[in-house]
Amino acid sequence: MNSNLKKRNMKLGRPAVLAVIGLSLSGCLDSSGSSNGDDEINSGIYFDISSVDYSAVSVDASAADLASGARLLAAQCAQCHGTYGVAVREWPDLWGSGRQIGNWMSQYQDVNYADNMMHVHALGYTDDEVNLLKTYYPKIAYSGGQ
Amino acid sequence: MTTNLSRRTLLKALGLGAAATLIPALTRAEALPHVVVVGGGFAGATAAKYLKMWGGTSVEVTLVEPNTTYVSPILSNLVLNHQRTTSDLSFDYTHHSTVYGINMIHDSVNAIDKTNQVLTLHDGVTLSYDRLILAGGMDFVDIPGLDFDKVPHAWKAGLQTNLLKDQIDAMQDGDHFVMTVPASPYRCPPGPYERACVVADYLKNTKGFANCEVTVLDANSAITVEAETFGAKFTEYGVNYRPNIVISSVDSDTRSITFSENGGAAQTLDAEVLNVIPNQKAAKIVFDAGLNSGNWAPVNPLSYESTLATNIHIIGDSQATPQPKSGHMGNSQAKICADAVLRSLNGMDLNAAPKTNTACYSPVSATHASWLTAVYEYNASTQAMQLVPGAGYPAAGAPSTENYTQMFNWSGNLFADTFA
Ligand SMILES: Cc1cc2nc3c(=O)[nH]c(=O)nc-3n(C[C@H](O)[C@H](O)[C@H](O)COP(=O)(O)OP(=O)(O)OC[C@H]3O[C@@H](n4cnc5c(N)ncnc54)[C@H](O)[C@@H]3O)c2cc1C
Repeated sequence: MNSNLKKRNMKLGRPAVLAVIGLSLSGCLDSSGSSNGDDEINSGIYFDISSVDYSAVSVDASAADLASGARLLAAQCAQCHGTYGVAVREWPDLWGSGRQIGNWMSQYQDVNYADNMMHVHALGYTDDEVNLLKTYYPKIAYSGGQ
Repeated sequence: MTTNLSRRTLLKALGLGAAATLIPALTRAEALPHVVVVGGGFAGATAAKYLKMWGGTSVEVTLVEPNTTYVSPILSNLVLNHQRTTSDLSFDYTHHSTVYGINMIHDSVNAIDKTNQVLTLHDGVTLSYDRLILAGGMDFVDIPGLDFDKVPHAWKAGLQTNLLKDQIDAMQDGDHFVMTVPASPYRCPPGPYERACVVADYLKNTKGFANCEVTVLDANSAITVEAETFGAKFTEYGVNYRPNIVISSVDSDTRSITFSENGGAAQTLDAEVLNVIPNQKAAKIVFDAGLNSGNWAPVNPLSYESTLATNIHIIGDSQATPQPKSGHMGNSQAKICADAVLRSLNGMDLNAAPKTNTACYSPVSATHASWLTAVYEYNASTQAMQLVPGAGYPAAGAPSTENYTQMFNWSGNLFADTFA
């Protein structure tokens, strides 16, 4: 299980146009487009958190009608996937994804992913909780760079 | 936007659901509830940001933090072996003020008047609050003779980190590096063992010193986390690991430390570089305000409200739940707390089933890192946070170059979620 495969898997559900924008922008912001760590270890600025612009996030008004607790639970993914699931660096975005989140969570429960941190996180949430996440992330849109 | 909104619409806009009872609409900006967050580390910076992200114009948020630059302790062991610099780990509060509209005050809080809900800042200014969130991190328990300018802790990052780096850089082959591990609970459970590995690897493999000794004096009875990983690395590097240590004093000028081992007679060890990480307790402001019970601040984990005072919440390293004292966890708690504060300001019930998570990546050399993670849930019968059962938490990953790379993906997102 290498990180390239992971990245590809996780990006599968992204609308093509967004995936293209994401790729071209990340290409000019830093050299960490490859999963090989050498470039980033030797580059100057390691944590350019300005590579995302969270003010370019919009939350669909219908998010207000979601079950209470959906937003708070979804925010617990942000430690690793960025605010509103808009990620910096190599880890996958969650914004804009619904059904895929359910698929990813069940894929990651698979034993083949042991020794992967997401594997053990996927084991920590109930089906009901995953369903809450699935209702929340489709409400998020992002028009900034990455 | 607040003037014409009905309470019901406002609650919906806040994402708090539409089911709350109708109470009079907010009409005047002056009537906005004021939430003051004290401390702009992983816990406080996240709390302030999420309060405004979720609360919007319904709430006024002020963040009080003395420093204009925050240096992350996370990854700071990589400064010691020259893989990062403290400026790589530095963040400011520009996004807090410009993107989120948080009032930034660069000062420290000296006193809390709990009855009148008023804070006094170091410069004498007072600040009233409707809700107060204390996120002051941790403080050290005194050790006689310990002077951090000579014997750095390097457990809060910045000058201390660079002081320790410079001391390590001045070491010669044959010199002795001695460090201590505080008694649990302390900030970042794997952190001290991680440091011992990084320093031992640096001396041996980067500097090429075959005769330097690295000694770890641990207040605990065994390696507290990832024992297999760190135990194997200690053997590989020849680290001299000594558990059951009680420190009695330090001579900071001669860099010697006096302690007992396994309850035995006092003994003294000299070092060229001495790195004492003392036992820890909640931030000073918690003690000054009488919000501690023992060394830490007891809270209700549904809201992180103090069990000793109303309208005061305590998050991050200072609070007393059994969850690990990590930046990732402080960020996680901050969101539970921000949500709870917004709910309480709007007269709504708290979320009854909060979940939090933590993660630490530990470099053990300049190329390999391990990880440790866990997910916590609320147990309604014990009214405490506990590890989610059945998933093998806390779970660990063995050192690898792959994990070393993932460490920067993880930390980049945690830093962005906290400071961007
Ligand atoms: C070597 C090392 C490695 C680590 N690795 C990891 C890791 O891999 N993962 C992880 O999650 N965590 C890690 N940590 C732990 C992490 O750094 C801490 O747990 C985290 O910083 C705690 O956040 P906090 O907001 O509670 O406190 P802090 O980050 O210490 O922030 C507290 C802030 O409050 C301010 N303050 C204090 N008193 C006052 C006052 N009276 N008025 C105003 N402001 C005040 C301080 O100036 C400070 O900025 C590591 C720590 C170390 C030392």
